[in-house]
Amino acid sequence: MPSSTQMEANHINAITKAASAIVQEHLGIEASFSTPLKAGKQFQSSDISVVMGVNGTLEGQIICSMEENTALSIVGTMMGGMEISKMDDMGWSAIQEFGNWVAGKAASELTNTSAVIDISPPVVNEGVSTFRMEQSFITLPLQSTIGNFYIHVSMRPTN
Amino acid sequence: MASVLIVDDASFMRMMIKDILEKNDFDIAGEAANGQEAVELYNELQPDLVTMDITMPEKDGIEALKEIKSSSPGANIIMCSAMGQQAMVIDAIQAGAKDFIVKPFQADRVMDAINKVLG
Repeated sequence: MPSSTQMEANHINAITKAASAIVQEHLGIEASFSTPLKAGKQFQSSDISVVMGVNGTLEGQIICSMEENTALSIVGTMMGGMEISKMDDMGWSAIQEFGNWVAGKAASELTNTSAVIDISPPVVNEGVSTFRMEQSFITLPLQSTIGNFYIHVSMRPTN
Repeated sequence: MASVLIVDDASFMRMMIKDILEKNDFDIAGEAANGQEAVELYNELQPDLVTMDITMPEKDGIEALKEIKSSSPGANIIMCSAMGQQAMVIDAIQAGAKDFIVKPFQADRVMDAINKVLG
């Protein structure tokens, strides 16, 4: 496979480092990554997915996907330790912001690899869905005490 | 009591910042969800300080910062963004931002920045 279609290991590391920093250090949720999976050109998401576009020296998508209970726990933690039983408008806004934090932190980490990227405002997708793309995705599974997260990444150098 | 205009496209972030400010006895002058609204509300309300997100639809926070500073050079604007790369911070400070807070933040970081700017 030509190297231009492969995501570089240091880009993947930057994203895992960013997600760990947000989930563990900021939200205080114990979590660990397992081995990245090559998902191919399509994957099936969990209940809730936050989709963000990547532009700059790299282009592609970062999609954070999780089960509804995990999303409710994150939103509750972001709101200062509240018990949340149902997503409302504020909850949807919070989960989008969570995606934004992960992608924003990833953008900062990526500058260490000389990649300069910008992130588009997040869009949230509700329901298990199949995402398809021309480029391959890599799935980064993050196990935590509040459930599993899956960060699906597709990034390649901009032509 | 100092007045603050909160600018962020995420209602969750506006609520968080509002909560921090109200607990510290600040007056909320208004809220804007994009850069265009921010420029219009700044001119109308003339707040003592603005917290400004960067990644927003319609007009981003850097554009809004430049527009506000060109018509009101004394404006106190603190950037609040998840995009904390050095180049972004330098851009914002060169365009006249008084500080740059990277999201996610702790309440203390926000209050330190505001008190320093208004102090």
